[in-house]
Parts: sequence; structure tokens; C-alpha cells
Amino acid sequence: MSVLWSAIFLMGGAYVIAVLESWFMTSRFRWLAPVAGLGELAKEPVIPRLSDRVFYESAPLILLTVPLLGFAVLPLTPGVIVTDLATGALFLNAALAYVLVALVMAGWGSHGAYAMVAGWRFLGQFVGYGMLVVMPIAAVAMRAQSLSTTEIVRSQEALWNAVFQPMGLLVFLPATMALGFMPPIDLPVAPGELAGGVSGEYTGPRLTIFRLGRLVLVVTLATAVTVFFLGGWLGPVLPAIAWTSIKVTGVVALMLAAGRYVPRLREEQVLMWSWKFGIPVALANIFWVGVILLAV
Amino acid sequence: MITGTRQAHPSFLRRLVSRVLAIERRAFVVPEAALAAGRGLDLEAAGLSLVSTPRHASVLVVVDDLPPDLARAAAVVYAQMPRPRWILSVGTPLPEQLPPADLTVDAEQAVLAEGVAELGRLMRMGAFGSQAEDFVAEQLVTRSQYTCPMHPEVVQDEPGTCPKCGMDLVPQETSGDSGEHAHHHGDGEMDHQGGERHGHGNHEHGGDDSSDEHEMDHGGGMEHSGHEGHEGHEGHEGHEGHEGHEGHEGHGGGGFMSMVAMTRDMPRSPDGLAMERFEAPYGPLYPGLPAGLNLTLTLDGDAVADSRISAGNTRIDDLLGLPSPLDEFADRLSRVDRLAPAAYRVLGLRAIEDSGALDRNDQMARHSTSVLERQRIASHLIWLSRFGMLLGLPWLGTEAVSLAARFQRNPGALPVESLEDLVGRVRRTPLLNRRLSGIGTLSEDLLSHATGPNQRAGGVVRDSRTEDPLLADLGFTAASHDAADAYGRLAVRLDEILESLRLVRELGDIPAPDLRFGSPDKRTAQATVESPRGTASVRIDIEQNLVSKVSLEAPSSAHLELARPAIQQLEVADALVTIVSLDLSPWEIGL
Amino acid sequence: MNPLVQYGLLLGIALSTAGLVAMIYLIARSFGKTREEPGKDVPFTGGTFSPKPVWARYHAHYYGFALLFLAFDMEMAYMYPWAVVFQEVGVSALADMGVFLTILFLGLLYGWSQGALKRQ
Repeated sequence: MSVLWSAIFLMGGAYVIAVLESWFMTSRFRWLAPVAGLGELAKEPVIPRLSDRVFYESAPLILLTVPLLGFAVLPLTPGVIVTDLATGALFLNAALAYVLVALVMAGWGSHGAYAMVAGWRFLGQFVGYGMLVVMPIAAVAMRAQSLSTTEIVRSQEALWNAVFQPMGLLVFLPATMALGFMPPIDLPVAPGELAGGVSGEYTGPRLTIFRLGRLVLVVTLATAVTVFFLGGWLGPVLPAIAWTSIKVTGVVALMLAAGRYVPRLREEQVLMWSWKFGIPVALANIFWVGVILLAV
Repeated sequence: MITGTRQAHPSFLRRLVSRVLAIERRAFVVPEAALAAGRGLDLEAAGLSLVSTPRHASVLVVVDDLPPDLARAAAVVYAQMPRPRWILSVGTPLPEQLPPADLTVDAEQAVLAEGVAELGRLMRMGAFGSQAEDFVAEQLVTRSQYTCPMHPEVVQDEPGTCPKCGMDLVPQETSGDSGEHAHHHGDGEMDHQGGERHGHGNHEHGGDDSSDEHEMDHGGGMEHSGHEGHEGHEGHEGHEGHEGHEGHEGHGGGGFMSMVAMTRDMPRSPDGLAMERFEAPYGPLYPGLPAGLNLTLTLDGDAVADSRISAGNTRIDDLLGLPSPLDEFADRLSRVDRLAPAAYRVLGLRAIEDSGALDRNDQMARHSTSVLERQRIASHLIWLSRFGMLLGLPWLGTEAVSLAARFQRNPGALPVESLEDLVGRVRRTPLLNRRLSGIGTLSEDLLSHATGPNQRAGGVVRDSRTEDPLLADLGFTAASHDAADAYGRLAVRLDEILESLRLVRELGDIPAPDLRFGSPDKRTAQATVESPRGTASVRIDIEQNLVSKVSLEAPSSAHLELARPAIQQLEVADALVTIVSLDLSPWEIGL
Repeated sequence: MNPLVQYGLLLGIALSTAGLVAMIYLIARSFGKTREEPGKDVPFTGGTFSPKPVWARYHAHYYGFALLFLAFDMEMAYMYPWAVVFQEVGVSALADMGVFLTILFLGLLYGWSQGALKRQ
């Protein structure tokens, strides 16, 4: 049953995000935007010459599988979670690390100049955001005394982590945007700079899978932000699933708004900010949480 | 018959998926969307979704004449679009390199919108058809030849052994296109020797693998050895004159690979590491860069180690059809630069004025000033749109181009509020200053060679408009900024949009004057205007009431020279920002 | 739920995703083959026809950051179990990790002062 509900939530989420993204990017509201993407199936799949077939073929598959696995350990309501792993938070981390693998493989496997630069660029981006995803989650786990995502939500009954450890959210939110290569931190796809970047040489069904994977990834990330920092399903009056949906949509809207109004960051800026600002803040956050937990 | 159709019976499922495909008409625009905006066309408002790679496009939209080199590039782009694919021609005949258009519409917004709707119908109906023809352009055909690794002069069509040393010949690919490609071919052979000498460390890069797989996938239809090409690549770097690293260590023959030996002759990055370089061509049809700009970046990682940049290969005499009658000269000159035709028309008229064949009067001066300032607004808007797209601000890309198109369509109505609003929003964009400051800074020396906004951004105000008494009356001040970087250039152009808007409003509606041409009293005449890109000047020779010789000094020619030093060692994104911020118009270069 | 069952479920998700993808590829395949035409499989490079290979020993200009990243990433492996038992163990846990993180942070500051935190 949980699986079914999760699947419905995921598909609904992907649809809403596709509509919102198209709205924020093109300033036009189109109900059909997500459906239109399926038309890509009518196009010929073109495999670039000299490509590394193993890398080229696995990249879209990994990009779709990995966020699905990550989503499976995130609770939507107290009962609705595909599998409540005792090490859920760690598993999510591990799964999402493969986004990097998928993108680097896509970039290298395509054997095009733009795609290759884009793939290695994402590795650079990862070096920036990587720690900023991991460290705030550790601080969240400190409070919950568990890596189970359900326990993490329960630990926020008194106070959301967004309030309890705002520094964590401050670095975690941009880090998830970087992980989901959402504008303004969309270096590996960078429309305008690299003509589609890592996805630039994909056509037809592979492109469809690539885009689908990206949408699922964004749903997973927004849900993760909700679960770790915004108290998941917790909220008054409305049913649990409504709260989860509202919060997830809100997080996505916030991310997309940032993408619309902020120019793309330079790779150097991403790295500088991650290491000169992000890491110290994330460390301070861990220390802060540690002290508060022992003091209170 | 639709040339880009997929050959299959249009079954129910196929028709269904075609309908879905037709919801979004993803279009790749050649030469570029900016030229459409210059003609008053807003492609996105007409229902096209513009994409940045032909791989993701279904429609090739041709919005302007393609000179021969761009026509060849358009054929490459068309070949790279996956089927089903369509060609929409907007008021222009297609060159012979492309198949005939599936739909031709006039260059008018309303007609275009109807045409796009009709295109949607074509896409629903014609994605699959029983007949399809291969698209074969001459320059895309490659064939395999075999050459000896040691004796590059040995080239034959059949595999075999080298008559000189008996080694097995290795395959390499040559393109059907002559000229330029033959040159590359030569490189490859020379490189190969270099590669051999350096040892075997590079084979592991997958070249071998991929060539095997390639044959597997395509049934060996197009043989190509990644192995050969890859070594060639390395060797190529070896020949760039870095002798300084020779003789560190002997070549570790046999199986042993020494990193030092392998990288011995390779060029060093600024941090002293020897890495391989590769080439990334950005043009002539890279969306976002001005069409016709041939930019090739030699990349060291994602940094620009070297670059080649060029544009234009038309002769001005052919372009203008010299000798030209005096009364037609200005119109002909306006065809030179497609990104600023009105400015060139004014330039032509002023040159004729200078010759004495056209009487100066106040109305003419006011009218031409107004035209010029309008051109400046439109040109800066189109530039802003380009810049916005590059920076990842799609709203700016869409809105600026749509405003420019609206402005061109209806020159009578000034969209004052929208313009001021747009400029305000750009100025308020967070982090824009951080993104652009210090990028592509022109040194003092380079700055002295620049003109127009590029120069004024560095605080050097040289603007021929300041000497114009008419503009002085209107209280014109030239915009300037204190940093010759991408941000300074943006700031100056934003200021200029508002200043030009003010001037146009102050000048008011001026009816186009009647031009009465007399006979000139000078044999040579000259004129200068401050075009949107900087100072453009022309000198004409007149013989028997005909313009017989024209020499043109265009701002982009000077700016093209600045681009290469300005992007050296920049990251790719910053290099592109620098090049776009210089606002080059390839059409006025190399004449 | 038994952890083994949970991981089995996750494996099932991975496999069914692969199945879904295979199905989509099959549907797309049923629309027809890719027509082989000259130039179609050459990567897009701005309209230039460039069949030359590009794979190269890539210069990652961010390697300074990447080295620091390795140090920090190793530390995170210890961090998660520590985080779970942190409240049980109490002050000594904070002190232990505090010393560890301080040293690491000083390392970051040292790297910063030596110019590791810039594009090389």
C-alpha cells in the first residue's frame, strides 16, 4: 500500500514540478508541459560515434534509479514509507552520491566536447556541495538519535529543525539545489554555455529517461528537505499527506524562484562559497546542535 | 513529401506519439533568433520553443539568408537533428545545402504565428511516412583511408602494409569536404608520429574500446579508429614548440610507462601540470553567440588555453554591388550589418551628405538621429537577451527579445514603461555584479583599441555624438562606467538604453524626410556615426555620380582583436560571457 | 521489517526501474530504427563538423578543493555512528569529535592560507 501511495505522490510531484519549472523558466503556464516531454519518444535515438556505450547507456538509467531508491526511504506520512530503513538518512546519502556518477558518465560517454566539460564540471560542483549535503544530515541525526527518517521527523514534533538548526538549512537547501543541478547551480547542463551539457547528446527515449530522472531527483530532494528540516508530515488541522505535499511544493517553488532570478553561479564561486562559507557554517551547526542538545 | 520524416507506417501508436510531439515545437534557429527579432519577429510568442542543441530540436527554423559558410554549417546542424525533423523557412529562400522547406511563411508576426500552428499540424500528420530520403551533404561524408604510422605520406584506400617499413596500416577518417578538412587530415598524420614517440600510455583512454564498440554498433559501416585520432591529439600538442622539457628521462620502452616521459613535450598549464588539450568549436551557429562568429576554444580542462576567433569572408564590393548609384547607396550599405541595418543606412546617408549630393537640413538630422537612437535601443535589447540567456536568466532572454521585436514591428509606439521596467529589473538582479565583475577586463592598452560601450565601460569617453550640436541641445551625456569588465559593459548599455529612450522621446515623431539627390561636389566623402557597437566610419570615392569605392571601419573589427587576449586562461563560461559582452557583429567584420 | 526484506525491496525497486526503462526503450524501438545518415552521429559543436575525438587527460582545475574534500569525506564516515549515539555518550562525545573537527578545521584554514582554496 505504501508503495502505491509513494508512487502516486512521486508521479504527482514530478508532474507539478515539470509544470512549475516550465512556468518559471519560460514565464508561460502550460498544463501540458510534462506530457509534451513524452513526445520525445517519437524521435530517433542517436548514439554519438565513438561514444563509450556502457557509460552512455547506463547514465540515464542510473539517474532515474538512484532518486527512486532515495525516495523509497523518505516518509510521506507516519505510515506511508516504502521502506523505513534503520539507516535511512545514510542510505539516502549513498544513493544520491550516484547522481555524480551518472552525470560524469553521461558527459564522458557522449564523447562530445561540451558534454565532457559539463561532466567534469559537475565533479567540481560535487566537490563543492558534497560535504554540505552530508554534514547537515549528521546534525539532524544527532538530534533524532537515529538515522531512520521517520524518527528524524518525530524528533521535530516540538520544534522543526529549520528553527532548531537554521544554519543547517541554510547550507543544506543550496546544496540540494546543486545536487539536483537546478539553476542557478546548473553547471552540468548550463543552457547557453554548453548547449545542453551532459544531456546534450541524448535524444529520443534516452533523453526522456534522463529528464524523468531529473524530475524524480528534484521531488526526492525537496522531500528530503521537508523531512530533515521542515518537520515532514507534521502540522495542525490538515491531514499528514497534505502537509507533506504543501511543504514539498513550497520548497520546490523556492528553489525554482532562486533559479529564475539569480544568474548562474560560476564554478569558482560554487567552490569558494562551499568551502569558505558553507563548510565553516556546517561545522558550526554541528557544534551548535551538540552544545544545545547537551545543555537542554 | 516531408524530407525529415521517419520511414514507418503511421500506425495508431505512432500517430499518437506524433500528436504529443507536436505539442511543443522545439526549434533550433539559424542563423540566430536575434536576427528574427531585428526583423520584428518574436519566435517564442509565435509558439516555438527555442532549444540550444539540434539534438533536442524537431524544427530547423531559418530566419534569414544564409551565406555559403553558414549554409554549410546549417546542413551540419540539420544532419544532427534526430528524425522526425522539419524545416520552417521564415521569408527567406533556402540554400541548396538544405532540403526544401516543409513550410515557408512570410516574415510577419501574425503570419508566423499562423505558420507555426500549421507546422503543428504537419508535425501531427507527418512524423512517420512511408517514404523517407537520406540527407546527404557533401561535407558530411567521411571515408576511411589507411596510412602508415611511421610514413604519413603513405595513404591508400585499402588496408595493407606499408611498402616502406612493412608495418600494418592504420585507418583514419577523411571528410568529403575539400580545403579546410584536408588540412586537418594533414595534421592528423603528423600527429601520429608524435604519438608513437611518446609511448603508449594513452591508449587506455578508451579509444581502442570505443572503436571496437563502434564497429559493433554500426556494423562497421563507418570505420574510425579512436586509437589513431587520440594519439594524434596528443601529438598535436607536442608540436606546439615546448622544447624546454626535453631530455629529463629516457623513454621507458617496453611495458613500463613513465608519466614524466609521456608528458615530456606537452604544453604546461599555468600551474605547471602537463595535461592534454582539446578543441571545442563554438560556432558559427552556436545559439547565443552571434551567428557567423567562428570561435574555437582550445581547452585545457575547462580553461581557455588558446583560441581562434574569426568572422566574415565577404567582400564589401560584392555585398554592395559597386559601383552603386548615389541614391541607392545608403540602402545597400544598410544590408552590410544585419544586426544594425538602420545605423548603416544613416552612415550611408551622411556620407552622401558629405559629398554634397544631398542637402543637409534640420529635419533630416533629427530624423537620422532618432533612427540611430532607436537602433541603439533595439540592438542593446537584443544583446541583453543574448546575455541573459548565457547567464542563465531565461526571463531576460525572452522578455528583452520580445520587447525588441515589438519595438521593431511598431516603431511609432515607444514601450517606455516596459523598457524602464526591464532595465530596473536587470539592475536589481541579485549577484549579477558578483557574477560579472572582473570578467573579461580589458587592459588600458586594449581599451585604447576599443570603441563604443566597450571603451566607455572603462571610463574612456570617446563618443562622436558628444560633438553633435543637435544632441548637445538635448542635453546628451555619454554613459560611462569605471570598470572595463563585463559588468561595466552591461552597466553602460543599460544606461545607454535609457538615455537613447530619452533622446527619442525628446526628438518626438519626425516624418521621414524626402531625399532629393543632386550631384556631388567632392570626389571623396566620409562620414562617421556612433553605431550601437561603437564608432563606424566610411570613406567613399565617387566617380561619375556613382559610388565606386568604399572603405569601412567597423567597431566589431577592432573588438574581434580584443577578444582573444581577453579570454586567455578564463573558464569556458567566463570566456563566453566576455565574448558576448563585447557585442561583436560578425557581419561587419572582415569587409 | 527485517532489514534483509527492506534491502530486498530496494533491490526490487532498482530492478523494476530497469524493467520500466527497458519497456520504454522497447516502445520507442517499435516506432522504427534510427536512419543512418552521414554526420548524424557526430556530436554537436556549434555547426562545425568535427568528427575528431575529444577525450583527453582532463585538467580539473578544482583539484585543490578535491584534496581537501577527501579529508573531509573520510571524517564523515565516522560522523554518522557518532551522531546517533551522541546524546547517550554525552559531553565526552562532544569533546572527542570537537578535537577531531577542530584539527580538521585548522587543516582547512591552513589550506586556505596556503592558497589551496582557489582555482588552480
